Amino acid sequence: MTTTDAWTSPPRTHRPSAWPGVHPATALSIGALGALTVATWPVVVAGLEPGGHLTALVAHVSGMLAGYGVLVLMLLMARTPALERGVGADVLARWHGRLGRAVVALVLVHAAAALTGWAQLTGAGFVGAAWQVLGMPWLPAATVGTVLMVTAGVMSARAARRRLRHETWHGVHLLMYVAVALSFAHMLAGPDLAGRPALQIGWALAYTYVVALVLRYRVIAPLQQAVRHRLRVAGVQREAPGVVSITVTGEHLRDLAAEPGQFFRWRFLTPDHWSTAHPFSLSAAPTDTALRLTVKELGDGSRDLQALPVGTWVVAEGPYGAVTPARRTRRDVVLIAGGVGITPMRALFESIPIAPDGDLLLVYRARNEDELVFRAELDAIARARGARVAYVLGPDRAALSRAALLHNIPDLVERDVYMCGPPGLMTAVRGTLLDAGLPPAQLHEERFDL
Amino acid sequence: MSTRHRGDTPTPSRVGTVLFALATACGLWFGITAPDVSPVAPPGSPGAGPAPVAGTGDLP
Repeated sequence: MTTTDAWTSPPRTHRPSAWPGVHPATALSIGALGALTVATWPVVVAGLEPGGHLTALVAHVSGMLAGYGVLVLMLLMARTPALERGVGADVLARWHGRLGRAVVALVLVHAAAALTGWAQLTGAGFVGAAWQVLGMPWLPAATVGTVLMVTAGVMSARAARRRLRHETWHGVHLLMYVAVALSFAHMLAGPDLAGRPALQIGWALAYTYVVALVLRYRVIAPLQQAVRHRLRVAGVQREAPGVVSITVTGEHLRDLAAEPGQFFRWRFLTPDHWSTAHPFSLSAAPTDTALRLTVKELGDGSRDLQALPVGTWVVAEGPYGAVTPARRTRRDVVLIAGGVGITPMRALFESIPIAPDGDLLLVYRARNEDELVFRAELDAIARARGARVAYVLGPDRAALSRAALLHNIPDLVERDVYMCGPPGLMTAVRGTLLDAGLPPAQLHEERFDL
Repeated sequence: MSTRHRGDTPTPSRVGTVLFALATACGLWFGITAPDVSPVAPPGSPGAGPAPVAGTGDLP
């Protein structure tokens, strides 16, 4: 293990990106309006051109919604700054997961209803209808696309994903783009769009623009950053059993406009890691010359990172994450961290502005003292900034109950609360905070179950 | 990446402009060349286009 002196540079002045964020409620409203429009159109078409069956209408509505859903799924994962900043990568990932399940269900309903409708119309049996449908233009490709989509969907189910290596799951998940490409012609040739050039052009443009966003922010931007910033591992520091901090140095890091509380998707260019980007938060305020991330051993990938060679080239995609000092609305702040969720909270603890009469409190929960990371650093930051840190140890969460929180922080509802930790803890504490009367606008959270 | 400051209006990058132009061209091409008549719509149903007329060569 080696250390680095990169932290002798002072933390950079906070300078947020100029891109405005889209509020989650706005994003949801636009998405729902689009879904309503897309679902209504086949009903309008059926009204204009009567003669269809109810089964066919179900096939049309589910097909249109599935096509629209796929578009939204790609947009959610395109890493566009407006969504990443306004909604947050963790929320986008959860929306993507839920919508993905709905889209797989819609595709299956579409296929079943279309086959049933065709069988009713032609009098052929289900198998005969399937054979006829497979002979239609673009349907074989769309069928392969459907199989790929369902496979990726099944492998993304929680039970299946636990048994898979992240790299395997990720590889199969990328086949979704192939599935979309195979199904695209079938979408444009569907009965609800065919013969309506304006709609076909609009639908095609929506897809090509979203694909352009994916290319821009998932492929080109990381490559541009790699060339400009020339990031390399400068040091690997053991923090606790199974936890290391990796310091990455590079050029022109100010241009990244990274903020404390944000994360990057890190791709370490070693034979084992180059193909997968892992999301890890900055565990210290970024400087003009260095970024630091902290990794806990949770699987094969993160275990291998514990022995990452110094000098390894790094491609960092980001920064992402909306839990930054820019979210601040009140004078006093509480930071709540659970487990390795301390990483972004430590960066905020170090750098979030405090007024001379303001109070900054970090509540850090771990199961035992051995699990605490950065203890010496946190104590030093608290002394230097006149802030407070409270370590909450033990097997239960009694110290984070409503009564305990209000007893120890009587002005809790007057503060901003930043929170990061495991999903179970986050859900429980979120409920407790809102139950205690904390306005939702003052709660800023990031879950690390991306 | 360009250096931006608080309050600046983000300006599209050259890469963004090129991608936008390509996406527009591809989207227009896909949309314009898409079929007028749906191959999956049964005759007489929505999207199937006009019914073929006997004696005109339209009948399959």
